[in-house]
Amino acid sequence: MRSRVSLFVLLVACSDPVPVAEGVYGPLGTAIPTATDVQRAVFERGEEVALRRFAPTDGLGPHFYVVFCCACHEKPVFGGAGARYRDFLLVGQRVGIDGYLERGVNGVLPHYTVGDDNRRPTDENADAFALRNPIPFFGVGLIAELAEEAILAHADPEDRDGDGISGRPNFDRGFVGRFGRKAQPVSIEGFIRGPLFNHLGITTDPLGPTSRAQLPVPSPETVRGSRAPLTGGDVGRSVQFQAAAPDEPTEDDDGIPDPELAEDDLFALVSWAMLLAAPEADEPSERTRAGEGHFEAVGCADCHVRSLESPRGLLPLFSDLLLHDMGPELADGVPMRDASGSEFRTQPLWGVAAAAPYLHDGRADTLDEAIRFHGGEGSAARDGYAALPSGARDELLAFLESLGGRAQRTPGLIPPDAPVSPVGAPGGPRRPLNADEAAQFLRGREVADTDRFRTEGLGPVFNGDACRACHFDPVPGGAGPTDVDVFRQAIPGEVNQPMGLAHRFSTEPQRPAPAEGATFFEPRQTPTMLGMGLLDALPEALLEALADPEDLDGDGISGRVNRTPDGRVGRFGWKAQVPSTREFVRDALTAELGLTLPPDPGQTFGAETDGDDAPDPEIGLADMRDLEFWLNELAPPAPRSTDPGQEAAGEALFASVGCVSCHAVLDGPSGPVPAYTDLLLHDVQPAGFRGVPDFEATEREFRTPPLWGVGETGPWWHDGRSFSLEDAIARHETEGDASRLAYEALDADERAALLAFLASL
Amino acid sequence: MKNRRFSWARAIGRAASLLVLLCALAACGDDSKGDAGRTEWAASSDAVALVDGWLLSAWGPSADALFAVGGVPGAGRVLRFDGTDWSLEATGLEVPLLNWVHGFGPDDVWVVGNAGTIARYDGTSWALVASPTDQDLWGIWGDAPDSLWAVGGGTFGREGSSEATLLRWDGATWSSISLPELDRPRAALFKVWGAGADDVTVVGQGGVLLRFDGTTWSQVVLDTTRDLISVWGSGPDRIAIAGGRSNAVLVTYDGSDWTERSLGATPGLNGVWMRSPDVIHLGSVEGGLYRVDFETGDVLEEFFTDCPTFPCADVHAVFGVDGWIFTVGGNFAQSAGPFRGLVYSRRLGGGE
Repeated sequence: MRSRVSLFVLLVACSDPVPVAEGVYGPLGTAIPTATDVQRAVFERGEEVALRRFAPTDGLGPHFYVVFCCACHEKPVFGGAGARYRDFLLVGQRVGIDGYLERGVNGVLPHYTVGDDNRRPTDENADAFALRNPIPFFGVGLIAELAEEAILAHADPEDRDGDGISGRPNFDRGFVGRFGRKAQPVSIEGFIRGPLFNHLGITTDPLGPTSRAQLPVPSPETVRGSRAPLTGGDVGRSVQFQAAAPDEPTEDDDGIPDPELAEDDLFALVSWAMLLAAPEADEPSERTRAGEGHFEAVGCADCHVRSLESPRGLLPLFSDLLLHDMGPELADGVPMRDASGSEFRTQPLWGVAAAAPYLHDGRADTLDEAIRFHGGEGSAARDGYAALPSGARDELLAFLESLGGRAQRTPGLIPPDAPVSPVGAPGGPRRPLNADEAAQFLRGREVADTDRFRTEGLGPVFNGDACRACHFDPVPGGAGPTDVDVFRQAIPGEVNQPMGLAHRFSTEPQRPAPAEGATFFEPRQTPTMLGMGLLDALPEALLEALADPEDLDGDGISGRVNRTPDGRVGRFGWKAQVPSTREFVRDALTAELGLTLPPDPGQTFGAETDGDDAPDPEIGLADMRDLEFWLNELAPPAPRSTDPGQEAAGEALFASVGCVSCHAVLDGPSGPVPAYTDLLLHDVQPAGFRGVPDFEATEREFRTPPLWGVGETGPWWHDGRSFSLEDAIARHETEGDASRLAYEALDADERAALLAFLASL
Repeated sequence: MKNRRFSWARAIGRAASLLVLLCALAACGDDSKGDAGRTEWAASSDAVALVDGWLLSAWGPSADALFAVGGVPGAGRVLRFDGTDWSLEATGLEVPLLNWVHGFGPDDVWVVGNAGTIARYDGTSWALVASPTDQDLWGIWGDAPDSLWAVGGGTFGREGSSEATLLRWDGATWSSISLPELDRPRAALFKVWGAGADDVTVVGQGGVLLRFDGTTWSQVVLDTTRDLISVWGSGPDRIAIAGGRSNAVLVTYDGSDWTERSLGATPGLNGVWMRSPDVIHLGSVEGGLYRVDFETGDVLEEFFTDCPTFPCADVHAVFGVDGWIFTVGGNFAQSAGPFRGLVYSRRLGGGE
């Protein structure tokens, strides 16, 4: 690292010190205070684009990892980082002696494919994998404003000052890179367009000159004479290049015309990112001042330099934005532009309190762990930290946590101290709760929302790191979009042999391998859990009485109960394979999160041991009971009427065309349960359909899914590949033939009425 | 070096003869650098206006018989330069974008382009030549009129649409040549150049480097997996390969070893040409032109072409003849248009 002492001496001696930038900080997720009204309007529009769920008809795919930008950038608020369940895999192939060839989509391994294949296979010959944890966007517009010289001032690629810290810039087309884990993108526009294509399959054209001129961080129309002095020449300038670097249009062959995102939407998205306020540090205290002293004394500040000089003043981001060799301890082997496989950009520390997990692959659960994982050029500082007395280490950590975001930190995504929704409201209880019950409901919500860390037992393989990771539409406990679909796997045969879940994540930097011989994958959309307790309370005898497996009444609708091997009637899951909320909790905690469970007499789902290092059980019975209580007490989706007349007509049609034969309102112990499901297995699949059996459910059979809240639980169907209710209806075959044909015979107004009824549920 | 415009060139006017021009240029050279005769880069707006599109390659037997090819994605165009004026050639051909030109004299010129296009000029007229491929062809070179190689393939990796292509002209027909086993996927080969019939080099996508010894094609395994765009040399033991896409990669061969260099702050390279065994002339995206020391890889000087509007034009090819160096390019990032070309030239110094 090049020392700036002389510069500061000069500044003090000859002129006023550069002031710290003012007016650029705010709560995470808000617009920079200096934003104009026009910019605030664009900011809001940009966030809408960031939250837009893309469907195949919008251009999603052909391969994709997520369906919206804020899927990954959501923690603790939109624009932020992501938990482990949003990590993505980089994939490559080793060639030559030390060569790395990107595979996947520009080096990213998508998990999903639009169409029949569903689960995108890992590229043939791919033998190099690395995990990436999403990076927060807070303050990136201010980083974009930095002149290249402000970054280059700290570069010391040859370590000429001999302090063991080098620091060199990454470049893109001659411009100094500054974003991303390896400082590989030079512009926010590029930083957004790349993932739009690589992660969503959404194509874009570069912003045109008119749009670029209107960006919050403008780009010069002409850059000549403004380039960095590459060879020590006398070309001086301090012009920013954000969004200036041109790029080519992205194109795909999914049948949707390119570009799939309109220029004004891309403009709003880029503007939103540029306008996100910088995290505001807490007022220093004696403790944090002491911590900062330790931070500097052990050498953290050699790379995490306090501030870079921006046009607005000193910007306290605690990063030099340069590449440093972090040694074999952190190396991922993935070169990016000029960054080697062991070099990473110094991560800014503003807002770090709210950005766990840490490091490029999210391997560190805590800041203490993150420091201890440092290697290479960070070894000396790491060792210095480890050698501090524990009290001093605590002060250093307190200093880091004071750098912004602490007030918004949450163990999951629900903001700290967020009140419980009212009775009957989404996310609220279904009945009034007494004080003890309310406390348990709140504890259960926290258990569901809390991101589980590796050290707490997450994994070794998993699909989510919290219940809420998949169940968040429209509130925690709800359904989930396509990008949290899970895959059932099977060994193909005359009857597919089920092999459980093909997991998405591993605590190791690799995609979990499918079970041996398993080459058949079936996606499962995340169903809503709202109202679960009402379904849990339905007596087994009621469901058995509804069953008509031989279709003795001759209505073309059979309906079978699924049963566990010990004879219990199943009712939850797409195959009705889970008999109760208690077992559902056990099943999901183990199967989806990889947590081991304590024994619970009478319960058979879940596992009590696994292959990771965390001591078993990895969650306690009390937490599980709280979670179960929360699930059972969650209010069902509340009806939403917008046109009672049309909806009433639709309800009548819903009955007359025969939907109610399966989508029935059952009588529960406390009255009718308007879930519109008989919880029985039916075959509504087309000829030739192949699936994955589960207990007594055959390949073709699925449980009648509840329809309450169906307007907000899309996409639909067991595979989550119906992006409209009409499409979901159109896919009903076999036992659903008669109702589908009757629906199709309705006139347009009648079909609209029926859809309005469904949306009102 | 400073970015000065070659503003006095226009003053000389089209009426001036090439001889007078060369003398004038020589008189204005910068002797202090030991580069007697060299001039500053100057844009040719006439050529840019005439092509009304991109220019991807230039070649000629002399500085007053230069061909430059390019066009727009749907229409290939040829320009000619007689030492004074540029003109749009009436080829009579309906061809897509033309990507490269190579020849053996003013009456034997080959061009290749998209969709497998191959055409030949016999000094009088242009004619399409039967092509065994519909892949885009990106490069052509030969050691004799009856011994040429052409290379190509899809470039942007649409699945299932790209196939690295190597073609051979035996004096009568073009035929496809099988590629050797490669250690990396192959979707496109970009350029071919040789020091002789038994010393031919091909470069391509993903760092592919192939060599032909007169009998067999074989791969030279490089660590770089960045695209290698272009190749040139001053002889069999002085070969330079340019590429990198976003950041410059320079690969050199000194007769025994291949050396791979990342030029850091230099944008990705497209064009390369050599006359002196010690100097490499390079052109990059973002309109950069460079002079690089062959032995050290040091950038000796750089020049950036004008960028009146975004996206800036990229340099695509560099070519020299008769003591002149020409460079051509276009705003390739603007793939849907409007299309804009780039033509610069200058007189070489003695040491270049």
